[in-house]
Amino acid sequence: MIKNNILKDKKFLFFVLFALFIPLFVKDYYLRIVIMIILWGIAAYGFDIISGYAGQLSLGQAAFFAIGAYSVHISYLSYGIPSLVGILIGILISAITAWALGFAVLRLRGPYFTLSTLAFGELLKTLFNYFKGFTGGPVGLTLPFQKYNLSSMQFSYDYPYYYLVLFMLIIAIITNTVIRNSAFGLKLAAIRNNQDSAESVGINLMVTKSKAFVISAIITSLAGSFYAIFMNYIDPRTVGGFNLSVQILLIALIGGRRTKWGPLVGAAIIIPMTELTNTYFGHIRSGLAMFVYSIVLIIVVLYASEGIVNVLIRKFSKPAKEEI
Amino acid sequence: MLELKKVTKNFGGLTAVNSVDLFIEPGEIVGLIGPNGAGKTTLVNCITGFHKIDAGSISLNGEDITNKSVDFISNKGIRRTFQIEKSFRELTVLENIGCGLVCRENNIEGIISEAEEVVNLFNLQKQIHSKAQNLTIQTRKKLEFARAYAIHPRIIILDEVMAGCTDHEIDEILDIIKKISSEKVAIIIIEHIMKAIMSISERIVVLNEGKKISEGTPKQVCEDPKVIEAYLGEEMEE
Amino acid sequence: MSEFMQLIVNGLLLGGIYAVIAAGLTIIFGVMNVVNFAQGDFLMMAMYFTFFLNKFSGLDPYLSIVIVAIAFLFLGVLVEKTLITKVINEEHEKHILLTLGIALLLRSGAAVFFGPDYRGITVPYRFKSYEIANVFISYPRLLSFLVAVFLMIVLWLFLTKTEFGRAMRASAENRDSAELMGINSERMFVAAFAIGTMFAAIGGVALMPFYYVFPEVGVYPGTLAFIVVVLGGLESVPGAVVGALFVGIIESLSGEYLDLALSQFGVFIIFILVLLFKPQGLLGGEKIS
Repeated sequence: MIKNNILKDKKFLFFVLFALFIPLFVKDYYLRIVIMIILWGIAAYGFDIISGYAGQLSLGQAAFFAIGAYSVHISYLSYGIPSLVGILIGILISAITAWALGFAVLRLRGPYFTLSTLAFGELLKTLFNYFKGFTGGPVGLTLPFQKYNLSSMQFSYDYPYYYLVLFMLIIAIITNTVIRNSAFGLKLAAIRNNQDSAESVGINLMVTKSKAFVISAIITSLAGSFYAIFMNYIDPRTVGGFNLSVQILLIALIGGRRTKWGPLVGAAIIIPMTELTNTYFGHIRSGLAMFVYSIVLIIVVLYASEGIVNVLIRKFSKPAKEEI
Repeated sequence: MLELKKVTKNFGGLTAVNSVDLFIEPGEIVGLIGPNGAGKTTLVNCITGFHKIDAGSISLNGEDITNKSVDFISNKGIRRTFQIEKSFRELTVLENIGCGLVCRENNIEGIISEAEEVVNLFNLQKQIHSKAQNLTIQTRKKLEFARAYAIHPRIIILDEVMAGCTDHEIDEILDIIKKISSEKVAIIIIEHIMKAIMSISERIVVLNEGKKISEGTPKQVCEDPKVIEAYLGEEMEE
Repeated sequence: MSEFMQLIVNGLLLGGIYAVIAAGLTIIFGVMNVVNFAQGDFLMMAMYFTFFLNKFSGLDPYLSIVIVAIAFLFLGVLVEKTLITKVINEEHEKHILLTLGIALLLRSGAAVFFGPDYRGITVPYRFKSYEIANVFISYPRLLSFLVAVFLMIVLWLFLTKTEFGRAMRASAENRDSAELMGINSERMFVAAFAIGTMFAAIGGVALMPFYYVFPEVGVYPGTLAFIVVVLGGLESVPGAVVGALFVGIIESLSGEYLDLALSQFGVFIIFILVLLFKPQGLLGGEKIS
């Protein structure tokens, strides 16, 4: 259960060091793939907090992704606010939204919570489509070129984007690890296992779940903001909606929830798979990718539901002596 | 310390707990018995906040805790086990007990060391890193007891924690109860195993059909004709 | 005033169909404790089935109900025996993920194999309607409503008068006790899932005469069915019926008074409000832990 302080974790520091040098070897199209992998990994880390650690399966994370994305665009386009600040605005709005929504939906258990997050995600997408004047509607928004600097978050090469998203990834991994090894993480574990029992040891369900929900929203919002900055173009379909929430779920599930590397590993599998599918069967884009996803989902749920990282852990570590 | 006055709980047309008075002093061991369906677990649910009561009042050290939330009451120092045990299945023994402490301590290392002490008291060292789902039901019930005890609460309520245990296991639980009681932790114990509950309790309260029908020392209660009548037709384990 | 009544009537007629879909969901949940995220997508498949039946044989949708019902009864059995049964004793989360996977498979499969276009059937009586006291009652909607009523009566008879139906109710109420009485849980599961799927399918057929089918068409009724089940108090079929009629009316009213694009919004808001103030649903009583 308890590991040492992550800043002393050799494997993690080695990873960071290694990651810093990646742009030297990986460039252009392939660097962009790596950036996308990390981006979706971050979204999956966010998902993992409410759906993995707290055990409350959220299928509405796309809502916070979209809020993060739109906050960047709208802040600049309507108010001239630089993108760097747009990221923070996105975090703020996502956090408040998650906190407010939590009052209504966190009291629901199991599938009913899941359903209401799903409905909320779809609702937000509908709203983004509807209020055209504010969000550009289905046509979407594009960030025009400003200048190459840190506050506008626009760069002429890919590698500054890479370091930005890597920085966000490190924040996400550290957050998840700290939670996992803390008293708060233990509270979440209690809730995940048995909510009545958790209450009986003094845990306030609504407050604790709300914290997890808000943290999840913030991390997912970061990913959405980065997407907006990196891709320049967003619309309700690409940054919102159920399909996006499903992609995040699948990434976390296949990689392994509640693990340090699971979400990243999951992204490293799913994103290239998506790219291949789109490249070779692009004209039936969303349908075919989802078709493949759904088959993968069913297989994973039936045969490998704990995810790849946990399967590897089981295979390569000494089995603990279990006595009854 | 714990005062129940005229506590009443209805479910639709059925009165499960009927105007029950109960007083628990610090460090007491009180046995709560009665035929099946007498309302014992319902009463416990009322005390701990799982049910809202329809009439009466409950107070702890003068503070009114009537109809407060489950976590509020738990943090005031009233902990319980469940008739159908609800340990945290995927978590280890150590983690389960740690959960008992998680609202008192913010420091995970502190939680672990305190939990380890409780593990020792409850003779769970061999299974300390085993997941609860791999234990027998009886061990899980003992684990629930340990989890409830972890913060050295004011009151622990044990609901049929010895069901299905061997004689040896029963004696072990009784030993633990005696050790705990010496710390001024009050214990309310619901059991059907008469030999055990009679031997350990300082005082017995008897419920039947929601009402308190008798109260006194084990000897007094056993000789009370009302109690004998209530149990006629019920199996009494000697 | 009659405009208001018109909206109410329309809401009730549609609510009848929602009741069928929601009842199917309730049965699956009551007996198996499984939340079927694919309910709406079985409905969608049935709509495509009906569409193609009509296209290649000219068969009127109402006449194809029996064929569709039987086909989807078998499909339900198949899905239960190959997939659902593998996770039936595991955590709820696995149920959600599996049925979600099935839902997405059906939905995206339809997109891939049938394309995204909207398809509809033109029945000769599409725009026929009756007028009673200034309210227009659309003939196909009325027929669908009557189908729904008939189906619910059959269901009620099945659950109360037949031995198998009573066994299912016993299993729903307490699986362990039912098993002790000799009821085979596995058979109950297969039956419940098959019936639930069949109901979703019939709901789909009932929509075809005045609606159109496209890959995502099942999402809204499926989501609505969930809302209905929650509003109706989770495991109660009568509750689902009341909830469905209520939701139908709300949808109808908000479609009129809010922009059409936001009519879904109206239902969602009501859902949230009900959950805030009465989490056990409109008919639910106190939850015993």
